[in-house]
Amino acid sequence: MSRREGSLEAPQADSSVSLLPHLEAKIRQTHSLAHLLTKYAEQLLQEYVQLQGDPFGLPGFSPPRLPVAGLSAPAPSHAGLPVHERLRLDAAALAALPPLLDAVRRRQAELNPRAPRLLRRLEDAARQARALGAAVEALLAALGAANRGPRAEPPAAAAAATSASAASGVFPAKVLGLRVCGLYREWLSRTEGDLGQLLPGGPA
Amino acid sequence: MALFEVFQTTFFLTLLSLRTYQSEVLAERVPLTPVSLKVSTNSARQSLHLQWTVQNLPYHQELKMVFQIQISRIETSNVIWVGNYSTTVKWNQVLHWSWESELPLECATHFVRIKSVVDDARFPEPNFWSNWSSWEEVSGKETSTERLKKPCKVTTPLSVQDSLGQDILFVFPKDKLVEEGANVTICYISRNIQNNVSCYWEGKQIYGEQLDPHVSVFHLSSVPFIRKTGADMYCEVSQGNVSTSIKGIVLFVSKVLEEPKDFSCETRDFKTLHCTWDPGVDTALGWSKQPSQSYTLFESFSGEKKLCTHQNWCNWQITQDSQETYNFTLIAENYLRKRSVNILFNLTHQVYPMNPFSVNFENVNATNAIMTWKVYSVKNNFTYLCQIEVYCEGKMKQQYNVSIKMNGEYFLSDLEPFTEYMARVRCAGASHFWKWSQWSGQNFTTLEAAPSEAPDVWRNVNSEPGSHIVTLFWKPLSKLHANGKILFYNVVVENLDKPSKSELHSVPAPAKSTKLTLDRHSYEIWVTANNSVGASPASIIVISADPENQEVEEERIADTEGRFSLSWKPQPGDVVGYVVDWCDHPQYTLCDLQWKNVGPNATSTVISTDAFRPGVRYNFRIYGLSTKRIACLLEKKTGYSQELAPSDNPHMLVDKLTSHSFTLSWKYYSTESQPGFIQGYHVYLKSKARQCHPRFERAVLTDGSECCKYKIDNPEEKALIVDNLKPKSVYEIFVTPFTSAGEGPNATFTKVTTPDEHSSMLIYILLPMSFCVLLIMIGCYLKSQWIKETCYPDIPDPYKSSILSLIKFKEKPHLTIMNVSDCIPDAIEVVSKPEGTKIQFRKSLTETELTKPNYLYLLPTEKNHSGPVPFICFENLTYNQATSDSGSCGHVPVPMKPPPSQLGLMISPENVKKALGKNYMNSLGEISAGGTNLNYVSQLASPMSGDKDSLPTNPVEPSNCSEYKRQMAVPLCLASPPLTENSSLSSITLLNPGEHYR
Repeated sequence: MSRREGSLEAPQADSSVSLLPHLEAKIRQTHSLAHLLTKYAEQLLQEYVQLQGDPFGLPGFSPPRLPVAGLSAPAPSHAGLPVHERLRLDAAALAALPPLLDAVRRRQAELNPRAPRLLRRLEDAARQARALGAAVEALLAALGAANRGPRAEPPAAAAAATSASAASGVFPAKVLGLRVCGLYREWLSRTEGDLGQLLPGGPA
Repeated sequence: MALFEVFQTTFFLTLLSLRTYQSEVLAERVPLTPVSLKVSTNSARQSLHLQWTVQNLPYHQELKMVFQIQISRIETSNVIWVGNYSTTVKWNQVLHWSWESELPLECATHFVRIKSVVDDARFPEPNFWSNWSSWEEVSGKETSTERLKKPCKVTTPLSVQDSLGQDILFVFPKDKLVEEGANVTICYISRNIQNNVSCYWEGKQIYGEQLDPHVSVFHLSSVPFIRKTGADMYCEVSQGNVSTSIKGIVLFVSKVLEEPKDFSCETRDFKTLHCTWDPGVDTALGWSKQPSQSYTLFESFSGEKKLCTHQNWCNWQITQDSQETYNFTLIAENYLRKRSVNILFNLTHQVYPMNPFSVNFENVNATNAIMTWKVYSVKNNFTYLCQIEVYCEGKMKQQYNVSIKMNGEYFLSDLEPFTEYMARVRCAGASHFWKWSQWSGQNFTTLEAAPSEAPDVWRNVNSEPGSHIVTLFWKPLSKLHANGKILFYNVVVENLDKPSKSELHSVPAPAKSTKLTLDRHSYEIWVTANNSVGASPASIIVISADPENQEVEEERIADTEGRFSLSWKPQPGDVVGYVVDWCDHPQYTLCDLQWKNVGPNATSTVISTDAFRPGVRYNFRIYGLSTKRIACLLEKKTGYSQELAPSDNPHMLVDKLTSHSFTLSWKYYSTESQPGFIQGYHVYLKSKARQCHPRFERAVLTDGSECCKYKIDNPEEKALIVDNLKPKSVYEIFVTPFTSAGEGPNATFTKVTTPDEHSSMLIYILLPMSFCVLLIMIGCYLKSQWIKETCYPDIPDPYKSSILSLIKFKEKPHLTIMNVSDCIPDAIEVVSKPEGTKIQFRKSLTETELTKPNYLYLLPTEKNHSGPVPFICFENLTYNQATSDSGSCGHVPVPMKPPPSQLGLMISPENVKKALGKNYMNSLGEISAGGTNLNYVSQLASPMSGDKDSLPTNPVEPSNCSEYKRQMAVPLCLASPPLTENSSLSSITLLNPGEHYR
């Protein structure tokens, strides 16, 4: 039995057959949104890097993947989890990202006040992450697999931690912004992949 | 004794005071030691701030003291700086002193101690230093601002890394702000000396010096400005290729604050001073590290100060009317530097007037006008210097300066009539020039005046029998001389040979020519241009009674870069000048005659115009103008501004073709209408022969093929005999003209084939034969009447028959033709209708002699008849005899047989009618309605005259009854038996429908 089948077994049993097309459309729609946002996140990361100056724009520059308060990086074991569990993690990460992105935008507004496009992208990213997170939550609810696990750290606390970290200096704030943008892209990509597994004909 | 007591008392008092002073000095001798030393740090400025007091200082006493300060780094023995600080110390005063470190204070622990000495003139030497204060330690970790350190008694200092917490790497200073060109020292502190730490400055790795095993220092010299968001310096700890920790700082490098340039202040209304300057570069940095520099205005006389809200200008309100002099200081300031500039000025010297207004023009006439304007009154008795400029067509014509108080006025003269001008004015302070106001202007137009110059007139004379057709041309007057809009031209013609009234011709503008027809007298013509004010001076030209000399030979001239240089021989006698005329467009009927007037002493001129086009032949005529204003044609010139190759090739004719030669001609080729002077012709000849004919030379064509070429240098030689040819050979020939620019266009060769030599023999034979035939034909034509009468005589006209005269006399004078009843028929020839075609029938005619006709004999008196088919008997139709009138018609009871079906159409009444309709209308009226197709028997058996081919070869002999053989119409039904192909008839013709008979 494939992983996908296994993950959908319980929800399908409860769902009405007539609702399946609607659910499939919803999955497809959410997957498309995740795909689109992944592309946007890629552009955001590129623009962020360009505006920070060297060494951020240099190819060899790869700062350590420092932990961000309130937001964990996608774990390597993520792929081994059932799909609904993965989606729960995705939704939690997407819920934690908006305040972090807002904090990054505020810092960049100080550092790069004449970069309106980056600031707009960051603002959009926070809003879009929130929207996608809600869509995934709704999907989980429709599948009968609503988030029952421990909630992520409250967004406000995460943002406060981010701000405190950024206050220690400009360079750490830049690195933190880079990390947040990178995590945003990773979680979107991961969400897109997880949603793709729910689609008919998706990878097993 | 008293004196002794006074001396003793004085001595003791002196001793007492001395003791008192000595006791004070002794008190000073007690060391004045600095106490309560406190050290604080300013991390951003990397400075140590010391504060202390002096112990044992007398109450309310001031002493000048010197303090020596010693600073060590890492350990007390490592003294890195020693210096003295001199100041006057009051009782109970807290002293402050700062020291700035080039090394971030966080990078190492610092130690400070201080000692002092009295350096006051009131206390003579020897002075001695106090003891050192105890060392004050400033730990790297504890370099937070405004935090005071307590004295540390520990001689072994606390290491920096011990005080930094749990992080493994630190970089200092944090986000430092420096000016461009500064030297910056940066350090990193690594907790573990085993760590592999690499540091980078703007992406490039840098290497520093090790301060201790945990601390390394980097010196960046003369840092440049990189970007407003700062430049990154970071260090990373890596294990293998993996970065485990990264720490960095952003160094904010500010541009150096510049001194404001071009600082000045001015007033327009004596109420506000407007000060401006050039701020130079903006030193603002990102992350709010440094805002843009601020500007402050300070006026020293009033002591007032104003913080400017703009970067390059500031307004200052003038509050005191009495203040005339101002001393301004402009202070530019940022976090790192302060700059200032100063100006001192008198207010009345810095006046930038408001723009003049109400600019008007009064009393405008043809050549002058009065200009008025106003200025704002800003101060009593303030005098303005105003500048006036007058423009015409965008060019400045006049400029004036005038001093005014409030209302300005200036008389503008020397203006051109009927011209639009633009006059403008600006003003400045007259007493001290500071700055002109903006211009205020207005347009005006002067009035018209009479044209000031006679029009330039020329003429073209065409002589006709008894008259001269004179076309007068004139050039429009320039705007300068027209002085208004030219409305018409007056042409006055006066006969010089006989007194007569002058003729006036008025030609409305904008015509530029008029045509006059004059008789063969001398005429003087006056031409004036007129506008609404008056007439111009007259231009006079005289037309001589003698026709113009056309015998002047035309001379060719060469072009020189689109210009023609013309020269001529001076005209004998007095001349007032020369005129050269030509057509700009000679190829058109309206050739646009142009002329140029040349002075009397000139014998050459250059004609240059944009109208000249390559490949067009221009003809120039040079006239001399006599004192009587009579023009005499002197010379003719012709030339091209640029010669081109001929545009077409001549149409050649090949003539006199023999087996060995032929003549080539192109006599209709015009050499005059070509785009260059035709210099000759090239004749190209192609043949199979490899060798060129004599006079021809070998040439290679543009397509690479070879041929023979013959050059004709005379353009009028338009024929060439090509000889020495081979009989019965094909030659290809091509003629093209050439000019100095080249040959004519490529075209196809014309093939000429020389005839065989023997073919000429045939001509000698055929020609006489043709001549003989011709002679015979002419002879036949001349003797045609004879031949006709001999071979095919005309059918006699019955109206002209002599028999008629006899009949008229006897019985029926109304009859015009002979009646059948007048004749006694001797026989009726019964014919049978053939079924074959006409051709077949005609064929049968040829067999007439072999077939014997059937004859039906009739009674000459029989009139009535009975039977189903009317039987019509009539005479030859040529006689126009109606059968109904014939009293001699008889009926033959011949049994009816239906006609062949194929002929059904033909037997219908309509067909019959058609058959007879055209030529026998008169007869038809007399034929009964049931008439059918007819056969008749010609007396002369003359068939259709229009069909000579069918002429019978054996004509029938005339009968004895009369001159003519009697003929009758026979219905087809009587054709019994039907004609077969073998049937033959003599002198019988079948009239088919539609067949004409004459």
